[in-house]
Amino acid sequence: MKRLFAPLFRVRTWSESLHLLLDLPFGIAWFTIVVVGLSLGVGLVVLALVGLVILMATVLTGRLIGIVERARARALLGVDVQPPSPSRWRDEQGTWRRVKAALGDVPGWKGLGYGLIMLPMGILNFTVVVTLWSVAFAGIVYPTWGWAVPQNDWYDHEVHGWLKAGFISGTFIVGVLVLILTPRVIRGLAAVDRGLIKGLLSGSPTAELRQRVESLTVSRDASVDIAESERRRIERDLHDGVQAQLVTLAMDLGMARQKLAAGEDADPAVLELVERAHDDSKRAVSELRNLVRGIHPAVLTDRGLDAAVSALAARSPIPVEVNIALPSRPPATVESAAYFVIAESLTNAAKHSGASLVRVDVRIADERLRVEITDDGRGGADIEHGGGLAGLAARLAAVEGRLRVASPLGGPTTVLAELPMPPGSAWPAPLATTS
Amino acid sequence: MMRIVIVEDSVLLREGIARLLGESGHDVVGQLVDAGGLVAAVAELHPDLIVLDVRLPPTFTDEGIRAAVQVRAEAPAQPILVLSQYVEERYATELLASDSQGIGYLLKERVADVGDFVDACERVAAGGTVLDPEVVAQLLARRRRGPFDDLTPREREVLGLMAEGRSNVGIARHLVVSDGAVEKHISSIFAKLGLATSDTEHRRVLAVLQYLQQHG
Repeated sequence: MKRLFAPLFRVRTWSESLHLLLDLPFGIAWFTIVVVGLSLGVGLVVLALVGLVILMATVLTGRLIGIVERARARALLGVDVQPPSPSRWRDEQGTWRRVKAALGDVPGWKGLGYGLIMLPMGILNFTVVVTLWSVAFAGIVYPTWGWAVPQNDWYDHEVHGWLKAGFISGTFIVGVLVLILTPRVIRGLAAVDRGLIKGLLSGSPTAELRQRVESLTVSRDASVDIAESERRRIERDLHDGVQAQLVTLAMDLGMARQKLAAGEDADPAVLELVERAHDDSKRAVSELRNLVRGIHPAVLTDRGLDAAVSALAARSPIPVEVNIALPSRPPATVESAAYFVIAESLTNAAKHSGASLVRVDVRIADERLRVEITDDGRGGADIEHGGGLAGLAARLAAVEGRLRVASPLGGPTTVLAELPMPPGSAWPAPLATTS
Repeated sequence: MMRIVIVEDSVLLREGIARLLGESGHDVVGQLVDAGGLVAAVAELHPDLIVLDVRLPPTFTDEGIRAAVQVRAEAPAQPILVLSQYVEERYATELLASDSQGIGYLLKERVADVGDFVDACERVAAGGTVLDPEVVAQLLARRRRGPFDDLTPREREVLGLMAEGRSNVGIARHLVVSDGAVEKHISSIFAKLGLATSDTEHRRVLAVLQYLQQHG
């Protein structure tokens, strides 16, 4: 008995009823806005700008519907759905892309769909809820006023008093039954509402993931670009600041040394000190130069991969054959990653392989920059244990490149890096050209 | 005494070089911070030598190389010594593309070896070719099939030193061998490169040029 009536005393039952009742006014409002917005927008598309603006505003209103409805559902239905990620149409570059992004906003359109469905749903929900509660309460309280109802024909005079009493109690029983039934029906209708909200107004996991991947890709590309330009800036600052000062210092020491050496009466101890200081300062300059080249080789920026790799090859203790066939320059980050793969591989070859010749081959195949470094050494290199190679793999991964190393014991070692090079991403060729 | 124009954007270094050259008895007639007015300055001042930094405003990349090429196009015999924070053989071949006489290309830090630096300035002003040992090493290291593959390592070394603008005596001193040994190497190089026995100095330049073109 208690269980039958328990739902009546739950707040949820009443808040759900309220939600279902409110479906009607909200449904009317949404339906009006959506229909007016869409028909105005579509109708005025001939006046391209006005129509598009109205359509964009309407689609964005779909998101507003979502916000209001999610809040209403949270308050009255106790559903807390994950809102879709915010519209990013404002982040797009250029008017047309913004318009496209706004018009193609899926959560917005779903919100509009929800708004349209809400009208028939609201009519149904409102009617059912009002009817059920009215019947229930009217039936239950019927005994208190049923006697006052004017006599109808069918039990007017002939009907006996017990029959009238029976009818009144029957109505009461119907009222009670409907009262028991009503919370269950309301729960069903509310479940439909919840379903609609979850289906139309929540962010879909797949779309969310896709968007997240997109934004992560964008931010990762930005980090890679920033890291690249930071390296260049550091290189430039070192060159123009510290190096100039060190060189001037070394030059002054050199002049002092020359003067001391030329003079007859110089203290040999002082001369020795100056000589040492002069040599140290020159060594510092030369070490700084090597350090800076490790951070970012300026020739790579100025003249591209071919020139930079030629310089690497020239510094390699093992003879290097360089074969670089590039019709144009890859994007700076790709160029830089390729350069460091080659630099690291040449260093490894010189350190570990015992090779007598290294081949560097760079070309473009299938919209990818293919960098292959092969030596005729003893092999045995692997990505897991070679710190340098692991670092390279990570560096390549940041630009969606891949590193493969084939290095059987006994050799030869082949390092193959593939970097994406979408068409149109290349730089213009440098201004000055070489023989 | 040489009349010298210095193009260098770092005040410290520009004044340092001017001081050094001044103390060595030369006359610094112009100091520029960028290559913008260089052609005009050359036309006006007719310096015996331009000392030019590679990296200059506004882009700080290779303005100096381009300015040098431009100046040489206007005044083909103008001696220019290019200083660079780093040397790359690519820049050297661009500089030497037309004529290697009166061209120098040195690491900026070589100014610290004050005696050698002033010496290099004087050699360039006199029409010589001075290349930084690093550039020469880079040029030597490049592997391409050609007559240079027939040279022995010692001969390559000698040719490299020739490209640096050294005399036979200088090469001999550098390699710690006798002058005669150097002459033997050089005539072997000339033979392998197929250079006729005419004027020795001219053949030297031809050998270096051929070598640079081959490796450029």
